[in-house]
Amino acid sequence: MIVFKNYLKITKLYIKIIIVYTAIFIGISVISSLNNNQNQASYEKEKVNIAFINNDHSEFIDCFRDYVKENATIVDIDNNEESLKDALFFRKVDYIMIIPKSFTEDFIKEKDVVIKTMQVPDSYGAMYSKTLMNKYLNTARIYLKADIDIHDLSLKVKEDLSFETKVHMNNPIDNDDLKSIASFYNFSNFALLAIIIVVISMVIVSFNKIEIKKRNLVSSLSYNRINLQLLLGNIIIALGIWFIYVFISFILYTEAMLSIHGLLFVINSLCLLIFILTFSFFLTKLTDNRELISGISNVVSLGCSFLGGAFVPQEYLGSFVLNIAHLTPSYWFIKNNNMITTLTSFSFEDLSPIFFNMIILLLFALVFYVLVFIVTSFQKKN
Amino acid sequence: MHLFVYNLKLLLRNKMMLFWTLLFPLILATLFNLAFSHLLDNEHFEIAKVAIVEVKENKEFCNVLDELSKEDDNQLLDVQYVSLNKAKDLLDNDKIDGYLVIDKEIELTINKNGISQTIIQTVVDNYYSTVSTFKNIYEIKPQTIINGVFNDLEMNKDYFKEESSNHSDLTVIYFYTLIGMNCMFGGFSSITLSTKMEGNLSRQGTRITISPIPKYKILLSSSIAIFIIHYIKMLVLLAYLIYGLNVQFGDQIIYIMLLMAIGSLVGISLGNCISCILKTSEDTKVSVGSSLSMLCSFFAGMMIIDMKYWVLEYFPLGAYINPVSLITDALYALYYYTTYDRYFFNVLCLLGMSTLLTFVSIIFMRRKQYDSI
Repeated sequence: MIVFKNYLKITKLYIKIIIVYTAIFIGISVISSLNNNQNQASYEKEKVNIAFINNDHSEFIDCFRDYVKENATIVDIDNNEESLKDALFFRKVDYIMIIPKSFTEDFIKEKDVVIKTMQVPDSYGAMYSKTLMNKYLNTARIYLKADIDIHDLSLKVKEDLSFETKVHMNNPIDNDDLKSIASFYNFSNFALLAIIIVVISMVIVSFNKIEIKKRNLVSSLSYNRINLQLLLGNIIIALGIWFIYVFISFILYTEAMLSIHGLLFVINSLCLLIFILTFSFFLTKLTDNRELISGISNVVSLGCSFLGGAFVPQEYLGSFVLNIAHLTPSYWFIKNNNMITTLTSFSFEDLSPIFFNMIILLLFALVFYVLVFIVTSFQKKN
Repeated sequence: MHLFVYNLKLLLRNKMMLFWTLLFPLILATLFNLAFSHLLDNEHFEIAKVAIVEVKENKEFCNVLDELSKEDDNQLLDVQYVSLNKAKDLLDNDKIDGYLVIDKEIELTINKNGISQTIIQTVVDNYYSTVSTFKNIYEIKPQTIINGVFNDLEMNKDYFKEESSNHSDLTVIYFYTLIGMNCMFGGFSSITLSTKMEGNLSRQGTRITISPIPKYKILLSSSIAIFIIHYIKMLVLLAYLIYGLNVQFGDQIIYIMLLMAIGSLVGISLGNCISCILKTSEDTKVSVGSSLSMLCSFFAGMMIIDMKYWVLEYFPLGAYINPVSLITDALYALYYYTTYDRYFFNVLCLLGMSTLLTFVSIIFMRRKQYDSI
């Protein structure tokens, strides 16, 4: 096991970089998985974010504001053009309305009153806000026409608009956590690819230096044994990094991970790991140039992640992109994660598509494993 | 002049450098384009598909539905009248967003939360509230209803007037940060070249240091060479973004080119500064440079777009000292704002930054002497 021991020694040299890399990637994964939280357990109205800039302080407007507050989320933003425009562009608000001075007075006098708004053109949020707000003002106007006092009017409008239709939700699934876990593992596609390729190649390339290689070849250890021990080293490193990742998912979502869903997530990412392992071993056989490897690893990890849907969910990707993505293992891995979240029972029929995806992942791994052998046999001849 | 030509050759022959500063941004831009082109689709308004199951007739409500499903600009719903079983079937197969059962009351059944579901619910809510309004008024002032004071126009008056804001495509920010990042990558070239100029790092360096050329000439000739090469790369990237990927930049191409020039200058002076201050090998300097530019890009919003907004909101100073963020912000200002104040402010910050960095490098470079190499 002398090669293997040496492998670990070299790893120790790089341990600081490995830790920093792992910490950064895991940090980003955690942030990005916390970002996505959508309740699907019970019916909830979609709430739009509205900035309510009020230049007219009256009881009527206060009641109006209460109505807005009930049906949307009011976001506080400084009342200057730059802040408002920035907030709109970065979608912190969907709709900005600016109530002009003496709006109430003019409204009562039935003058033509206009509320200035800023919005994202043709967006759902703007359309919906407009419908809601117009409903309130129109209802108020009807009461006004019927000569009802502005004070009573607000109460009446409130009463009218408080009606809520009964909504039934079919088979609600309490899968908030599962969704977050899925996005955590989806992101792991990028993180694992990037870290493991870099780390493994850093170590292996040291063995590939021509002098060291010659030295190793004349030793009594057979070439295959050397390869095997190197592979063992790779496996240990990859498993280690993978284990940290899985461990964190268990800490973050303990309850949801301790289930069959959790087990499937873990197995799925293990399949991906096997692919990454063979792929990075293949890369190190191909070239000794560290810079080249880091270039390839960046392009491969970013490319697979973007196309496969690690950053942007697969449902937002165009069909053209998804078709290309079929050629990457990431696509199957991420598709599988998303399928796992929707599982409600675990019969063989439910699980077989998931196992099918896993098998595809393993086939990718097999292809690169075979390629390693082909490349090494070529190199030996040389 | 000799030095200048050799520097140009050195830069063009460094294949790894060409990859990182030319090919890599192009690949990344393509990936951005593939991944983000449909990102904002779910923001756009879509007509909600709903099935109606009539157990009890409700003419008024059906009139409302018909009105809302007319095929015009204001169409909200796509309505079909079916049996209950059919409706369930449609919902299970995701053919509709939900179905309404009209009995004594109207009830909605859905499979998942979403925008369309909310719209359907709002339609029903509005119907009921209108009914309630009329009932209330009838109780208080029956004559107004009988007199028919209210006509349709009054009921559906639009109180809102939108200020038009066209350029609102959020995803352009990704491409802007990419430009910012590539400006910083100009620093790599200056790190590599300066390694070749320093006496203790390479043989060429030793050779150049003992030659009778003043330091400022060395620095100037290499900087100009790097700038020319890097600026050409930036223009290639810009051309690819505009013509290849159709990224929107607004119409001020001259301003953008000016910005890129200044941005590259900042990147190059940053690279010079790193290589002057750090007394380590080229590899370490390059990795310091690349981590720094990745960090800047991260805070400018390259990985998470909201990051840019958060930084501006909670730590504005962070945005002013981050060159990638300044470049992104200047491009954003050109794209989104009609005035140039914000753009020029960012450009001034960048100019100040590059002057400061150059000044620091000169201080460190002056009177550098080697005892023994």
